[in-house]
Amino acid sequence: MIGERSHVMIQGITGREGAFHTKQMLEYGTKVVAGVTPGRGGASVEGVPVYNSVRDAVSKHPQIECSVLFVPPAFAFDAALESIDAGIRWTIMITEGVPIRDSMWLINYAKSKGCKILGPNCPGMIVPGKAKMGIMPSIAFSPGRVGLVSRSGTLTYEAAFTIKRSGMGISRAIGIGGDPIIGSSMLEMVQFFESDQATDAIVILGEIGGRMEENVAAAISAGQVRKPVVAYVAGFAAPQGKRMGHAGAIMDEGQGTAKEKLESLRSAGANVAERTDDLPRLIGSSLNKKR
Amino acid sequence: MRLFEHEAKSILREYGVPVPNGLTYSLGGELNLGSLRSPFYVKAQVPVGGRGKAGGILLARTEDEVIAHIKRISGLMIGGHPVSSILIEESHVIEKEFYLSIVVDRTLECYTLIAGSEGGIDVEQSSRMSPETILKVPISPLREIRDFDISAISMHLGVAPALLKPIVHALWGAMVSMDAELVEVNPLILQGQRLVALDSKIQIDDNALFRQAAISSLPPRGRSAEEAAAFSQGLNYVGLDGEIGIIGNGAGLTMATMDLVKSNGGRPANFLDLGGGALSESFKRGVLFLMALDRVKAILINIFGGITRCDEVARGIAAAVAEKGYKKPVVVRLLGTNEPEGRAILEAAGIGAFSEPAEASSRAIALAGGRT
Repeated sequence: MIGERSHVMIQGITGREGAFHTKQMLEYGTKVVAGVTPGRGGASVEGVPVYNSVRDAVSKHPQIECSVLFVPPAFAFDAALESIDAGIRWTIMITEGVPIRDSMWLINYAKSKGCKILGPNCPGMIVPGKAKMGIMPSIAFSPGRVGLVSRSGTLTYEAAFTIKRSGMGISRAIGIGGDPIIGSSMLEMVQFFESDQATDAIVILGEIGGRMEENVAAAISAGQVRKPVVAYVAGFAAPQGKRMGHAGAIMDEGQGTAKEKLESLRSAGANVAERTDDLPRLIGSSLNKKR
Repeated sequence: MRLFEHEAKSILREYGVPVPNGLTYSLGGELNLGSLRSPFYVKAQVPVGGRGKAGGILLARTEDEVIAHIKRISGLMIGGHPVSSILIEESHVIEKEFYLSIVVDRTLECYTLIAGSEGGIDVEQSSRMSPETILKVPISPLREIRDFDISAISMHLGVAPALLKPIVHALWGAMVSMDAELVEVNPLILQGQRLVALDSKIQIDDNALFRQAAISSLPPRGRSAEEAAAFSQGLNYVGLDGEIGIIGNGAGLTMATMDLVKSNGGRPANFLDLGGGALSESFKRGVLFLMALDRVKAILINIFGGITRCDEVARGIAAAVAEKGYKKPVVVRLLGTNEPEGRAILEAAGIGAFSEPAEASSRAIALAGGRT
């Protein structure tokens, strides 16, 4: 897993968002060593050297382990492909609005190359007090022993801030992204936290649609997750989403409602929160029970 | 974006899938059946399923019957949608019905080809009752459809590979090059030595519309007039029937805000997610849009700034409230990136900002006239 010692590259570093968040990441302590914007090689952003291509950046900074993408949807495919083909282990796709065909192809390709994608449409990852590879506002996070995995960016900040004010903190928060097809699943990240020495309890923040939350519930039921899991799912008041012809029913995707998801997590033994401000109490009580 | 049946069929025809001869009748227009042969199917065009059960598909033997059916169908509301146009097609004798589709498989993160040996409107039930009638073939997006995929489907359906191959390749071609999330033909019928797609659904990935010019220029559908108006202003909006207007950044936080309002006894009037990195102009547009809705009594804005900056948010809200004729109360919860700048801008505009979502939501509910 990437962390505070990882060397980070920013793709789209000279853009408005890229430059802004590069500064924020540097201030937070992240080792941002290089940036890429085609045609802007030789420039520098916040003291970080800019290269024309990922290949150029990697030849000068061979230790780069992670690339964070701030590239518009129409160019995100090429940018991510460039990162994967340069052998960068983690590609974090912040970009919102990437076509599913592109992200699905990239995710399968990355897998075949032994690389990981986080996102797209995600806020990235933060190890509070140490480093962030993404866009999380630092103010929301304090260091601690709760692992957080979320399908929603802003909901991650909301939950982390509530946890911070209760006096607890976060070991690592991972925003996996809100798209139907994403590179790192909720379950994979829960499994990471299960084996992570710095984490005592796991918080998952879900959303309506798909089966990510149900898959975590199944793993808990199967005894694969021993650390306490606290869950919140957004979308009780939301109108029902579109249905994918008959195929949705045949694929057994279920309706993916907030209620269904919360019920399956509850019956698997997770502590479920009805509201985000209820998370700290549930984390506290589940940790006490464990002791 | 869900395509109408007639749009889906014209795409399939282009890719080489046989579909019935037919014509699309626009409401109020001239009817000219031309060389179409009786009997006909008269089919309501709506962007939802369940048409048949709602009386949206009728059989006609004569032109007079077609006209009578058009009259009846054109007044229908199906699943909340008015009938936009009517497809009139030659009917077919059905020897055997199959189900065939390609779908984006969220769980396996690939395409999945689905073949059902018992197609038709009851395919979902038969897939539940007799799962052996359904064959699912996962296809990696890194490869093409190969003959062994076709052969698996051919064995399952009992249809010669030579008949199936062009159909499956056509569905695949449409799926990939049109950026579809679903291409479905049901039923796919066998008539003599020919396969014909009697009905079809195509769903296009909204994220890909920027490179699907032919699709993005089609008239919008599946939205209420209010939602269509929001969409034309570039707002990611869903209308509901409550009195608290909701604006959030990020779908998750926006939904959580709606949940909070509901659990505190209020009713959300809408879902409006301005997304990550929204600029002041979007916030201004969003606030003004909600203000103009009669049912909205108060507007609740819940922002946790990450890529979105609080000063941009505040500038947009302040600009909206400063517009001539602005009424309705605005309650803001603001936290995150550039928060102090944002708070200062709101303060100067006479708008207080909360840091607690629960407090902000209670305040909005009170301003809207209390719990319902």
